[in-house]
Amino acid sequence: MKREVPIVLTFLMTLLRFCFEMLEPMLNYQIYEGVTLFSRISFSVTFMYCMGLFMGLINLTRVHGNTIRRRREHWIYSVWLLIVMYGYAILGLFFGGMESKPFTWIYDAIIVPLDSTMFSMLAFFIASSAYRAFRIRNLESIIMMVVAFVVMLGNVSLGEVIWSSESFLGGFKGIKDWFLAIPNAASQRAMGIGIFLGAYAAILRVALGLEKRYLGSLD
Amino acid sequence: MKWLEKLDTIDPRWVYIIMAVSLVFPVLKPIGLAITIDETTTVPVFNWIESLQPGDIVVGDVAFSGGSEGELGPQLQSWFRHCMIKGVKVIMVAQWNTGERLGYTLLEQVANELEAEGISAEYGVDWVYVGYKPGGTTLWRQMQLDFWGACAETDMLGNSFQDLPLMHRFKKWDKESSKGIMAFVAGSPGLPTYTTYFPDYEIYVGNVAVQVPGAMNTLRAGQIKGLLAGLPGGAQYELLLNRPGRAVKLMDAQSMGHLWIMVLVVLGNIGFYMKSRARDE
Amino acid sequence: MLNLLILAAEAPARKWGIFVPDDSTIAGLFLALTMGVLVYVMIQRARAGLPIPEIRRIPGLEAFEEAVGRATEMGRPVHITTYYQDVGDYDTWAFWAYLAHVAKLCASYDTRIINTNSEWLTMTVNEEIIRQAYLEAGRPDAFNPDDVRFMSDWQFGYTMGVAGMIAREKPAANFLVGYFYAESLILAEAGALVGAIQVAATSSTAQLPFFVASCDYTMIGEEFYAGAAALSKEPVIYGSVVAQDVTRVALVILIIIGAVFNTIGSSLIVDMIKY
Repeated sequence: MKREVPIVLTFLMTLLRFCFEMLEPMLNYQIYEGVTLFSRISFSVTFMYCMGLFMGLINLTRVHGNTIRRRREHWIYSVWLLIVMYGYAILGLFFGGMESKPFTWIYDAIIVPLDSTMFSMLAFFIASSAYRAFRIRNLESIIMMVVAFVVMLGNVSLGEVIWSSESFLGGFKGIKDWFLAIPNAASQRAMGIGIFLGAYAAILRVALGLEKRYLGSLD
Repeated sequence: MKWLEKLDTIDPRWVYIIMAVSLVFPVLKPIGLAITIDETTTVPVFNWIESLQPGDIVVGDVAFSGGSEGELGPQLQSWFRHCMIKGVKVIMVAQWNTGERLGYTLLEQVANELEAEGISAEYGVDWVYVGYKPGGTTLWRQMQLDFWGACAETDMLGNSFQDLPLMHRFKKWDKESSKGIMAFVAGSPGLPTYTTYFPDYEIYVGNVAVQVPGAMNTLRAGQIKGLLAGLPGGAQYELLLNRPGRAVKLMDAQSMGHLWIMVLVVLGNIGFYMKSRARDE
Repeated sequence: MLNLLILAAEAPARKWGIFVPDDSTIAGLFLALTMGVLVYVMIQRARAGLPIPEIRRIPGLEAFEEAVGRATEMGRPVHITTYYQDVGDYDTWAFWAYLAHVAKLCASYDTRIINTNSEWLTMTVNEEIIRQAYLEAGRPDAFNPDDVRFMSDWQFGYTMGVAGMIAREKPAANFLVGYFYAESLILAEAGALVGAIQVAATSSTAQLPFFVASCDYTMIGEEFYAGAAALSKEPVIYGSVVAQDVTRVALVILIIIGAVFNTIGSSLIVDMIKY
């Protein structure tokens, strides 16, 4: 039963959602005046998201609590994590919510700058990985290099200074636009179709109960 | 020419230091390189807002977090400023919970600046920040049928929709009540929510630069009508609006950063070639 | 006035009486049902032992075994991760095939495997998969639950946790499998800095340039899903991959016919697809 019930539930919910998207009578079906079946199910999904949040909270507490109790490596960071997690949650829930100054200050002054700093590391890492990886070894790498340079220059003001978009072929910008609009769009569409088919086959396997790994099975 | 072979193995720390200098220097001392307006991507977004009438409602989506704020923040602020100047009403939702608060901070900043200039940007009348609502794409689908019910009739700040005059004109998210969608997206969930569930709506997108190649085919297919492409898109929008700001200021830094990467690739290939030649000899 | 006219206009009629009147409803339904039937037929053929086409060799798949072997020789651990994919994501289902494969290899070679996670529910399933692999290899005592780690569900909290772990543990093999976002390059560079052999498998087209630049092998788009099917070695999974390929060929033919029709000025195919 431990495996059969989730498989049956998965199939039924997939079928239900599919029918909601296809069949208008189902989408508009009212279980009572002014309340549709779809709205009730979408609210239940919302509740599941919220419950997932609580379960994540419980799981984090359990995992890091174990780390602290057993004094595993870097346990002091687990203490800090729990303090920050519960502290911030309590601040938001009981001391003014989204409008409270300390809550918004922590978000604006700590979380956003930290996020931006981490994202900015990409600029440095792309420089080092491009330097390390882009070596001209064959014809394909020459083509890739040339296209990369053209697209880079087409995106920035420097490219406009070197070869203006008013001149022959539209400058770097014109060529970059052509690359993006034709070869790039074609390859993105091809990959998109392939990815969709792969994803749809995966969804079918799960819906039909052929894929059981999400239940912890190895196969 | 042994020193040329050393170009193949430049210490990464030098790469990072010079990159930092090439990004910071133009911000402190702007070079003033010209910015071209893109007719196929940026101008349609601008023209869309220009074509709207005062009182029309548009929906914006904050689907990014602090990491992408550098690119999408200026786009969001310029677009919002444009809407307020034109008298277009804005309802903001957020697909990302991590960007919800950030989006509000950015818009509040612009609203305060506009109020100081005498342009109306009153909360509840000219704009409402609904914020993030858990439930994923199922909830976004529900918003089309019953926006108030899907959002539990409250905005991000806890105000009831009953107390917000603008929300009385927006009971469901359909093509009659909103004149288009502007989604500022940095990942998932993002654009596919709209191309899948809002296929016949006027969709415009503000994207981070890395996602522009992926969004181009949706632009070419007509699934989206316009696209603000990363930092250049934000800078171009600021120039169209005649209000150069942060994005314009950062364009020079972007140029210098790109230049350093190109120089690095060339140097690396010179070193690689010299090494190969020495090995063959 | 215009709004009143819009409201007064007739709502579009349902298609065939019950289907929603949106574009491509019937065409989408037809495609979904056709592919569903194809999947069923190919799976039945596979189960009956009838011949079905083999999946072609995917170079990135062989790199997994090579990388684990290298890690075993060097006495360093193997690291495998997928980013924030919950248990309902098809990328996670594909990731589990790779995780099971790598876990089985590590269990049989007695190599340490570290799995970092950004989604706690997926982490519990990952732990179960790795535990099972060690159990089947006859080495349940070698399984270390501390090596299945939850970092953070915040993108860059997770990224920094993994980058720090890579810098400390110095894995010899770094597998980045799943749908990644901005953290892809940071993770790949962290692995490159410690000299790990890196294999990426992703359906994220936006991150492909970063993976191609910094990883030794990259499996692109549908190779990721087909690789998962090839690793599981089950005929039923093979059958669904074959059904995908047949559908793909049909779509290519439709695209060519549609392009020809559009060129000569006929919108027949476009109208069919939009019905």
